[in-house]
Amino acid sequence: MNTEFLSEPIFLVVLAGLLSSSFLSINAKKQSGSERSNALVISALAFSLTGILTSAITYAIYNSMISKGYSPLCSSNGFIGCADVIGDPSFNTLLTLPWGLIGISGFGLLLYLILSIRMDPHARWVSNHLDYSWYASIIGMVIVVFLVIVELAFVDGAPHICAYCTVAHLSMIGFLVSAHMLREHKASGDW
Amino acid sequence: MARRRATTIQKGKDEDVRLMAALAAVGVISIVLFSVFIISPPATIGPNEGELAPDFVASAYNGGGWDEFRLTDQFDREWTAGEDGKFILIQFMDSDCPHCWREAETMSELHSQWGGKVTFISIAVELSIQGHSSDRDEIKAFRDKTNYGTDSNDGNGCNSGGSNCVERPGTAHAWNYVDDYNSNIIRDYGVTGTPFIVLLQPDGYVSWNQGQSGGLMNIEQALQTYVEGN
Repeated sequence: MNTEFLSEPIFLVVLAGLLSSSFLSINAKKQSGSERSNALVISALAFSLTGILTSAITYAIYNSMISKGYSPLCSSNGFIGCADVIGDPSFNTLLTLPWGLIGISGFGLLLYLILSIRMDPHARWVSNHLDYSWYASIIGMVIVVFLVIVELAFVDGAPHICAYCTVAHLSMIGFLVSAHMLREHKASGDW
Repeated sequence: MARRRATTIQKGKDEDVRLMAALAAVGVISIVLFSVFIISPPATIGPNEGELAPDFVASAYNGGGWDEFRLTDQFDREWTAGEDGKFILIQFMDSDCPHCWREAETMSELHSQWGGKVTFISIAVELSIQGHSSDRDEIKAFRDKTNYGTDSNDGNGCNSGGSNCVERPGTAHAWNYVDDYNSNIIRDYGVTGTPFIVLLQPDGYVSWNQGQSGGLMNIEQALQTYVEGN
């Protein structure tokens, strides 16, 4: 298996973002009351920021692949490598929009929803924003499942796994879990 | 006299917080997008002159069999104007289109004259017109000029189904014929009728689009101007 991507500094940065977000989310389970709310909100914020950063990197890779045929951010190829996935013209866009751009927009929406809760955790619309975050991340999960199936079965020379795309997918899963825990915590009345 | 209790009512706090959150999120996205545009600016992709031609992956018949064909594999990304490099001529055609039937001879002549400097690609489509029912065997027969349509396939041959493909004008063609019966490529290139030709520079940028020439330049003149003039 090709593990060259593990030596790429930018990949290590987004991986660190994902691991930090996960740690915050796991750590929140040990807390209660407003401390728990705060920790969960921060973990959701971290997941959304990691998602935005990773989506931006895949968008930059897409731009480079289109105009130059290669990307310096994407030196890995083979089973684990982004060039074969992001460079496939049949699947690298949705209605002419690159997936990276869609990811930035989607995680940007989640960032807005969770940031507003962070700024005023006791506002009357917090429950609504938690619901919107949950529904938006469920839509995100449907897209993640579709993209993973495309990576494994449909891209040119499948199966391929794009390491950066996987970090973005895991960020979406992490956000979904955080949003679910936040809703449960809010419903428990221990907010 | 009773004292009136002083109360403080926060007006519009909720809305202010949401607006600030929205501004912060937009700010983060703007910074991220700006950084991407600096590091790796997006190319303008499209069929118009000066744009990078849309890529495609499809099955192509090369005379031996059907193989996967990708347009960008033909590109020389390092090419700059004035250097040697093969231009790419993309012809959209329908084996049942009478104009394509006649243009086939011109294509044979162009290939014999420019084949050393230009890579020829024909994109075979099926227009939604009565009598334009085609299949891969018809593409092969049209390209190779082989017997198809009078004593086979219930008489449904090339040229609106009325001609045997072996009678096609011009010589047999020696370049790739790409199957676009699902219309993915013709849609990306905005082509509404056949025959239609687009000429690309070796680096994949569109140098001439038949639809933009306004009838002032035909493909022969375009090849003279862009390939010979390079």
